[in-house]
Amino acid sequence: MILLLIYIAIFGVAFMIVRLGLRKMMARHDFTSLKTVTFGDESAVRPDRLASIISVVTLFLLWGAFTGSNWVPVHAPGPFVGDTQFTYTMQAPDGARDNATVHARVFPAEERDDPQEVEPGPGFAKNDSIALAAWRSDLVLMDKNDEITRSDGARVVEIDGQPVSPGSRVEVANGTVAVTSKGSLNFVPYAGMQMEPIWLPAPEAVVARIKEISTRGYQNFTLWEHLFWSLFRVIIGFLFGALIGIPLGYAMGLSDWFRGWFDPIVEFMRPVPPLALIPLVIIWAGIGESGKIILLFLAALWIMAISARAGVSGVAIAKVHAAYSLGASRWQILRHVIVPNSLPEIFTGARVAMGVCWGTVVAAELVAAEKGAGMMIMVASRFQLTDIVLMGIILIGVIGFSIDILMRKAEDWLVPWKGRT
Amino acid sequence: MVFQQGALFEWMSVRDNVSFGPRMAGRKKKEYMGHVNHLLDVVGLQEFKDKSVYELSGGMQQRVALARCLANEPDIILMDEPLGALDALTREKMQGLVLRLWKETGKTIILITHSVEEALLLGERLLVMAPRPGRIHEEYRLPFAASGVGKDLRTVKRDPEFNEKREEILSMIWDMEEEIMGRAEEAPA
Repeated sequence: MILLLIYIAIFGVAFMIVRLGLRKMMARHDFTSLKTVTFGDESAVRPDRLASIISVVTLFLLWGAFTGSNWVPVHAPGPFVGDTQFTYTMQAPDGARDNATVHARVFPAEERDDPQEVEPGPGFAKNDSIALAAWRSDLVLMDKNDEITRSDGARVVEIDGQPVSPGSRVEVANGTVAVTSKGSLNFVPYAGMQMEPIWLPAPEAVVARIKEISTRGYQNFTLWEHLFWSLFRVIIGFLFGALIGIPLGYAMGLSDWFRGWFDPIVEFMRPVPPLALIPLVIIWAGIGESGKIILLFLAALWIMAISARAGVSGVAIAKVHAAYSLGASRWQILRHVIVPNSLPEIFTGARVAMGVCWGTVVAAELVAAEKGAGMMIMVASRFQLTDIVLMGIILIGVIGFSIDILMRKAEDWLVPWKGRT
Repeated sequence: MVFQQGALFEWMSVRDNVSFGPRMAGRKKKEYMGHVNHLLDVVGLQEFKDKSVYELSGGMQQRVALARCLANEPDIILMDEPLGALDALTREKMQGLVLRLWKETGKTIILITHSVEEALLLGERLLVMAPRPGRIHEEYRLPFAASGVGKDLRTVKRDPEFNEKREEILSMIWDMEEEIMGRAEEAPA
């Protein structure tokens, strides 16, 4: 909640500073800046790159600030770490009261420490000592050394001078103490506002993991091998899918019989999510490479077939007529008119198919695999290695994004006429 | 066949578009390249031959279409409103080009147009068609195309005889239109 408010505040402040301050100094002078009507004109909305940079930096800063990263100068209040104490007052059945002090040592989450050595002190209630990790809580077993215990009818009546009863909760220095329904004490040190590493590790922990796994590996394979295998499966599966799907799409676009024969199959298979095929593929082909590749082949096949078919039907009939009137044969029309004219559609399909394949391979590896990016994060999550999970997600995102950019570049290069006719 | 527009192959360069016919016929490059280059000269696109079609203006694209059609050395050329989508100035220039090509190559050209003026300028034989059902309504023999070759087309247009003919055909079309529209209005009743 607070995080959301901070995020909105940064958004607003950055907007104010950039719009009112900096933009005045570096206003753009181009065609679009001369437009008088801009609101509602989509072409006049150009992403403010400065906003993009601030957005990414903000996310990173918030991540660092709320995980206590060394890379970020400001931090959200962290959990209490160190030695603290509170005093409880025990009342014996005969009405006698005695104070005892509980010494708590809170150590950082990833370390271990022993409780302090303390003097038992006078009276029937003896001083106690506990040690616990940050973000955790600990039950104070005061009965272990006290001379009159709860089983004798004694009970805790005050903590740091504040009256308590079973079920109540009081603030003490650096934490709270809750009295359980059975009358024992539960010490909870201040958790602060930072995330536990087990929920969200600091950025440097993730980077350290990248270094570690790229050299030493995880689950018998290095990071690059995991990623390579995932990519390799995507590319092989996609290639097979395109190799079969594109000719199939052309056949469906050109022949009544093919259209009739494959229409029900393609139209039925297209809406089936590839993920729903995972169980069947595992039954048929096991969890090895062939199963993954069959799955990705099926994911890409229908998309490529449909885009090739759409590409054929998108050919302007005037072009086909022109080619006929210039004396081209059917084969030549296919080769010189239909295929090049359907390339833009096929590229659009290929981009979609690559995206779907990448998503499917990660999901398939989550279910069962010996290597791969999805398997890496799945196994890591079972061992609560959140930094590996986070690293895997970031790398999967980066790779998916790079694939899309590469496909777009290839498209610009191979079909420069797209959208210009 | 020359189409209204958009029938060029935009994945090919200008030269590949023009040489499409001979290439499809499987002729050797040496044989057709001279002819293709000549045609590119005729339509004035020699310096644009390596450009992509989508980089050209509408008038240039129609000239490519014209050259592509001629490269196949057809006996009859059918032009389906080839100048319809061009601006007035380009259109006038293209009319001169069509006239010149007609005279130079001696080919039969069937040109479909909505412009009476264009029909008068370019046609030897003018067939006025009527709609619903499509049929030939009237036939004229015209002298302007033969005399107009090489001349400034605007001088032809200033010719009183030319204007007279234009008015005659236009009023004939108006009458025909009224007759058909009148029939259409009566029909539902």
